[in-house]
Amino acid sequence: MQPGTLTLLLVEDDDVDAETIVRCVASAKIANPLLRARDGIEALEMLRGTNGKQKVPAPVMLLVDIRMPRLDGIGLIKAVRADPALTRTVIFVLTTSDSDRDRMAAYDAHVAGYIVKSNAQDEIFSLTKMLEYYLLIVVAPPADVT
Amino acid sequence: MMTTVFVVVLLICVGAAFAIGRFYRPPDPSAAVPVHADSQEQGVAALHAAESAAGRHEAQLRALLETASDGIHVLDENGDVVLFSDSFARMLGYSIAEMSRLNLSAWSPEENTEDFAATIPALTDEVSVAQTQIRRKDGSWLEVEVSRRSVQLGGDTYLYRSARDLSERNKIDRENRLHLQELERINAELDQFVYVASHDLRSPLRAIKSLAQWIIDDDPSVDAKTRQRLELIQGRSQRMAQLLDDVMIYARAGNIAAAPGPLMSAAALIAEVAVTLQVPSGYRILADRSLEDAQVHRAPLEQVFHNLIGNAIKHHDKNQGSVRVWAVDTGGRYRFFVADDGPGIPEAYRESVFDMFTTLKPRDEVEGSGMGLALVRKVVGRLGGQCGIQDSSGRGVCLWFDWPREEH
Repeated sequence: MQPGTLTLLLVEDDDVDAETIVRCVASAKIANPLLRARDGIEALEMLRGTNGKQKVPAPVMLLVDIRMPRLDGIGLIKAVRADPALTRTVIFVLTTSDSDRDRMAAYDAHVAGYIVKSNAQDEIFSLTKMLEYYLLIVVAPPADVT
Repeated sequence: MMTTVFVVVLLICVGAAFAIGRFYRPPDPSAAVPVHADSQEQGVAALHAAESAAGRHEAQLRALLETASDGIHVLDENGDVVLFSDSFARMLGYSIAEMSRLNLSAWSPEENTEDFAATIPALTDEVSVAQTQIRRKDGSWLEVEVSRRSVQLGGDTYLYRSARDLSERNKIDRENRLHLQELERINAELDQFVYVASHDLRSPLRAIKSLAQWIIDDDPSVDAKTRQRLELIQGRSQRMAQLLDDVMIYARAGNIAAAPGPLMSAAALIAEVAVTLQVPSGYRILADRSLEDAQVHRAPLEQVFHNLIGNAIKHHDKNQGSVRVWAVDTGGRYRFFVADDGPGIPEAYRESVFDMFTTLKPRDEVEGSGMGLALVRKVVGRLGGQCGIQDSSGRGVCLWFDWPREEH
């Protein structure tokens, strides 16, 4: 079975931070669809197609902020890992927090990577490079496991 | 201070009591009359008149028993009082006359007389110390520390004991523990506050900077004046971000729990700092030979050198210069010196430059948060050292700081 096209789901409450990622992805000419949820609850609804949201087709790569209202990044990651239908989702954490506590919690929930957001141009560049590389090289889980 | 006084007094009293015990024979134990200074006045006077060695010892013993602040008491094998200091009677609330007729069981009921006799031989060689409680005449209990030792005199065994009132010390200990807990709580709260504040402030700053950049990137019609103002917005945002970083570093600096890093020579550390500082060409860092013998842990000394050498270069008024670093071994510590050939610091500011947020030039001229030397002072102070600026006139400034010596 061919791997499906990876959809990027950005989970970010801050509009400017969200636009930063959108611009990054656009400038890198990444053609994968990019969707956005504003917190963990909305992300789960989009992943499951509940509460009137259209279901995001698998495979999905989540780009998750840590600090968000209602359900934060760590809570979202745990919920995704606990759901058999979502557990194969590729997750990257995007955050301003470089605290060890947040980092440990993220890796405990088996995230693929942990990216500290900053102003520095080269870090945004390396984030874009990393995404490009990941989308190019890494074969995503198949769309349907059955 | 009080504790030291107590200890010294105890040592003198116990030591003197034993010394006297060796040389001074107590009254014939068969007579079994408790001896106390006041009740022996006539006898003592007679001995004084004779000016015998025994008389001098008796006078010394009497003075000792009157002045000792610890409750010295000597017991025979039955636990009956043979000798005691005035303070011991006061401690228990008995008069001198009452005290001289007492048995151990009066204030220490759990020390059974038979068991007591059995424990004496085991105590012969060393002074042993134990914490216990003694019962006062009014029935109240007193926390004490008792030092004791037995002494053989003319075939009989006597137990020499000295009781120290611990109630005051224990009360102070309890208060100190409470204060310490309170301090730890306040510190943890402050750490959390600094952390949260700096992260929550960083996020909008980053947004401001990005938005200004997007206007420049997306709108080709932006004129030069607007563009310059947008760049100023970015510059100010960057300055505030730097300030937040520096405040965070300052708040965390000197955290004793942090790993000190590997042990290395100060010369190797300076070489590393020179690399991370990206010293512009034209400036030279001259590491003296004395740094090769100074063994130091990397953190947090790296930060101190980074700030001092970085400052010297940043504030230099010429496009070439040199920074000289050397160490003097002052015995228990090293004293490091960092000297430059820059414009120097006017005498009036030599104290205040170590304060937080102090800069000597407008920030548009020399970018800086004014936290660099404050951090140096904090780190050095945490390790019990001092820092300062050497007196000099003319060009250049020479800063020094103390650093603990690593034993190895």
